[in-house]
Amino acid sequence: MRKRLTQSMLIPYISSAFIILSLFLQPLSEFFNGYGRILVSKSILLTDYVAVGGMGPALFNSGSLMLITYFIIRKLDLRVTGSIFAGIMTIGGFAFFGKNIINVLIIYLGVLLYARYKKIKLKSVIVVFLFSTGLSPISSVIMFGMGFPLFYSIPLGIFVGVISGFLLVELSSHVIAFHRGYNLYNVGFASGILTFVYFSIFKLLDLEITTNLIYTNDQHILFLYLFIIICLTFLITGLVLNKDPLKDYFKILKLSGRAVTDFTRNKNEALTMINIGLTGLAALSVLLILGIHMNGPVIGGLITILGFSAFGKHVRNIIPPMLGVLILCLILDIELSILVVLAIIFSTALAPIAGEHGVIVGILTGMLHLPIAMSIGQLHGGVLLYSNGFAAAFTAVLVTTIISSFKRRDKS
Amino acid sequence: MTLHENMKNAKIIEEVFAYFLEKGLKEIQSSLLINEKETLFTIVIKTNNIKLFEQFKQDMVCNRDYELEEYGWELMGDEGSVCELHTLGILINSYDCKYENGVLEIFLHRKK
Repeated sequence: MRKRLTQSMLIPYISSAFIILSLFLQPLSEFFNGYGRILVSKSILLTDYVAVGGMGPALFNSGSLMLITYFIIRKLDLRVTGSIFAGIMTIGGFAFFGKNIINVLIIYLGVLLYARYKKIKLKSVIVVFLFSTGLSPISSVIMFGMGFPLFYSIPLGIFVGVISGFLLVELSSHVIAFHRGYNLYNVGFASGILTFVYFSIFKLLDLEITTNLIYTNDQHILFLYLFIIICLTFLITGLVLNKDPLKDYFKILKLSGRAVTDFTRNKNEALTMINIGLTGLAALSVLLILGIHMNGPVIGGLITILGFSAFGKHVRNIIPPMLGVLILCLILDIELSILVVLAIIFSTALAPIAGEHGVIVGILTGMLHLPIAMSIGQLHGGVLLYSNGFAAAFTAVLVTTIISSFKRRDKS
Repeated sequence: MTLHENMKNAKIIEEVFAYFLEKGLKEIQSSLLINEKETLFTIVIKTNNIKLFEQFKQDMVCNRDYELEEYGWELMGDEGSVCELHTLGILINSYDCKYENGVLEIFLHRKK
């Protein structure tokens, strides 16, 4: 049992719980209608699937995508390491606002074709495979959001999605050197480059994409309890399974978290679970202090933080960038709109900068991230789900360049 | 065989050199031998600093991760990443090292 829990990192249990709970939240007919609406929505930012299809279908969408991806991992004979855990949780999180079984599978197909073409095993590119779905909306928006006849739009959407997945593998490993691993959402940056190209072509062809701003705070309480239960489950399971001294947890806090830092390999799964629980609760506390309500995108962002708490994030390095965004909002009297809230949550992509250079630099990084994150949407038109990941790469490169510029000399 | 094998081998050398240069060393030699089973990297360093030997053993966590290496191998050799040697660890299966008469010898094994 111990081995099963640590090797799975609780993924099948959480996803199964999501699926079971989803079936009891509304009548079945309503469930199927809602899920159908999610599948054919254009899924562009910001589309809260709870508002589109209802709480049950959104929860089912998240649970089922995590479970399917987990089965793929098991089929490939892989164990759930930190990077794979982060990838699965990111899919589960964004399944509340943009990813669904149709647009995800199309991108998966592209990565699979890449592996076949290169004659390598899919598992050697599994990390990009998992994160590649950030540009899933490109398929949905072409298929269902541009007003083309379905006879043309569906093959075109599939084609563009598959090509995107195919190109993303090489692009992701190349661009990681751009921000030097200080942006944890590296595939977000690679995906951003592709979506920028697509969006520019659409504009040139006079094909208009209008962004969405669909969300609902109706399920605040349910989401809140759900997230607290998930965090406590990780925390308690980690404490029960952990054989090492608890003080070893503080060794995780000493790591910068810079890519590629896998806590399950550096330490162990149980300590990683403790970190997941604590980091999730810390991020939630920041949002609750601010009086922010939970909705699909917010819970999605928080679940993504849980995922990356096995792959670089911890309490010490996520708080400074979150505070940085918040302080800038206070200074400039910026309203805490949903987009700003997402910038607070996803500024944690820059956690490694705080992890390596300390609290002050971390806060300044968060302050710099907000304006970049707020304007980057103009480059991709909402087609990119990892918009903050795209922005974080620019923030990271700027901050690290400033730090390097002021460094006087190498050691000798 | 994984993708970009030659470039990864070159990056491993770069990472090791960057690590020891950061430690302030002035004389480092390396060689590389590719055979059917593995790539063997040999690094020879003249130093009187025995602590360096212990530090390397502490920093070098060999944990070959075939899934992660394709994602992060281009980070190797970068300033900063070498302090923790995490990225190098995911590309190396095992290592041996010995320190005798002021010479530190390190052997990195990367299986095919």
